[in-house]
Amino acid sequence: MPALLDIQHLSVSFKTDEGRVPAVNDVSLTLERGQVLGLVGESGCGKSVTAMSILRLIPQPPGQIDAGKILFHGHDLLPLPIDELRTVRGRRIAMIFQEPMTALSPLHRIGAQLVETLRLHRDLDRKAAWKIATHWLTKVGIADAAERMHAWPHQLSGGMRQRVMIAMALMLDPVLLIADEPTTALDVTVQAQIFDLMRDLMKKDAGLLLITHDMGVIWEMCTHVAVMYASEVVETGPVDAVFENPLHPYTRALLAAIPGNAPPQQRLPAIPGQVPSPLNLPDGCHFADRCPLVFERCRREHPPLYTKDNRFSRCFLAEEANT
Amino acid sequence: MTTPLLEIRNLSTAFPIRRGIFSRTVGHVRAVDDVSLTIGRGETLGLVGESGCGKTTLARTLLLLEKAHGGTITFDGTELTQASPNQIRRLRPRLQVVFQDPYESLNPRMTVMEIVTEGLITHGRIRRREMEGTATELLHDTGLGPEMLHRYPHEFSGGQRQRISIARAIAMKPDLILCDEAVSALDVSIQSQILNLLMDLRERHGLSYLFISHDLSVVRHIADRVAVMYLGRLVETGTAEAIMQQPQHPYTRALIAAIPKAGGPRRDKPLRLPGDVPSPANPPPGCPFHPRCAFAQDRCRTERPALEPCGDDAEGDTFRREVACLRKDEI
Repeated sequence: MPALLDIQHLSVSFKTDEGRVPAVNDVSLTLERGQVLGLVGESGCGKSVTAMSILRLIPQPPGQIDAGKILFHGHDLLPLPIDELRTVRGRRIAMIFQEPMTALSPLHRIGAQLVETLRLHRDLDRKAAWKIATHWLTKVGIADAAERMHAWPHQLSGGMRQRVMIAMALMLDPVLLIADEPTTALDVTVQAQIFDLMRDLMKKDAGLLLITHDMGVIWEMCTHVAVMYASEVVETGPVDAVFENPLHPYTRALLAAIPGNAPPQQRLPAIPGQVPSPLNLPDGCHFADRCPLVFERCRREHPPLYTKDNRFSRCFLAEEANT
Repeated sequence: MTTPLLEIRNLSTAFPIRRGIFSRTVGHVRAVDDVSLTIGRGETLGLVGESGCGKTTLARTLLLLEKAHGGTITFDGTELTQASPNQIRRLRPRLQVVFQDPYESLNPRMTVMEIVTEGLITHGRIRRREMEGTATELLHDTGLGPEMLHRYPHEFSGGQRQRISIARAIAMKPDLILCDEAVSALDVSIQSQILNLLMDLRERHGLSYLFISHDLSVVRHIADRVAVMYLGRLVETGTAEAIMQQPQHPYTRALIAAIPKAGGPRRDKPLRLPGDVPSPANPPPGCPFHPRCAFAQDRCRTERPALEPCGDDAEGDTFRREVACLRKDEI
């Protein structure tokens, strides 16, 4: 049976004044039903562009999908005509964005936006749709849901708006939920409530692609993880295995740099330097300049993704471990 | 015992709520409500709490950017709320600030050299011709090269900008730096670099920090003591270790339980707080936390708990544990 989501060799670039900038390079990811795949990396590494490309939400131009396939249940979404893609968007694959402030229309009341979404995808009259929408607002933990249906987005707090977005995404019972930093703007206690809602969806055998920069979130929520660095996937594998024994030096450094993992008041094992500019990526390994284990070949040759016990690492050291 | 560097007593800051076409004042939001804190020399105090709890207002009040409605702020023996403009001008350089957003807190029309030496020039501590040498030293101190001197802020990454903000703050040779979410906007690998820098500078220059953050794991790493704020009030204070290992207040417990910790135990349904933080314009009566508290009883709804010593810590110890909970001895 084909995987729920199978991204193969995706490459996306953006046209800028300074030339074509690669945002995503040869990214391959697989997600099965019931799994939670965490996509982790630092700002600008291409994790959001990867997620947006699945539903072709990147603005084209300046963006452009240069190569790759996005197989959803085995069917490639990329060549799909836009009206067919619309039947997939929302109903089969739902997406939650980072900014709950901008994702809702400021000119329409909460209830109207929820009802519109429902009626677009399902054959319902206004009254029935209103009832379902109110029910979902209660389900995501909004008090006085019936009253809140009449509220304008600006009358709600950030946490409440994000919960409205989550209700909107979940009420169509998607089989795949893509959540791009869904809780970054929220307080930790609200974040915990929202993760509970997502866990409930997973129990219904849906798949979740969760984009975050927080390794703690990956640990608590995900079954699998893909680490991105400078437009590429550098490591993927089951969360327990990757956290216990990271194969790529970047993953290892990222885990070590989390303040909670180090003894207090001691210097943190920081990663020296900065992420290379996407306009000027090194020929060899993108991480070479910051890597504590760098050797001559890393600067000369670009490492491919090596396989090791169902895990992948884009590092020459992983190749050596294999032979 | 030596006097603390900063001593805040019963500080309150309120904002008027205005309504209608004549903007009549119909009430007040008590953003900071009866807060008492001390910071010793060379000490780092972490201030944590969720958005809107009053952390930033407290910092702004200390910097005299907001007017205190009640209470006192004593900085190195001088009472700031009653100080003359002259006294304040003399004290200001000793109290510096690093803000969260390194993109909005640097003047885009000034070069790095102008930014880091502006305060020194204003206060007449250096002459214009000394700018370059002084700025080079300051940049070196914060891990930036002299080639950065004549560049503008937009040419730098977030982490480098935060280094520039820190260079600007230490230029005045302050005693205390307020770091308001200073590492929150940075990626993990850059965040650890900046935390290391702040710890190095603290050691080298004998600095004190008031380190404000919503991220408890960052605060635990850098702070000696931690104060937890909820709806404008302090609910718990103690050493960083004690707060993280044995949180006493139900809110602190829930806050710590809610942090996803890499490598920690995974719980299916950990301790959850229901609902949202109530509006500070209309705080609940009694204990401000009672509507979300699993341990709330009738008296929590009417009686307001004060911050009181808790546990078996020695009396008069500056590191003592304080908790504002009516049931602190029972739960």
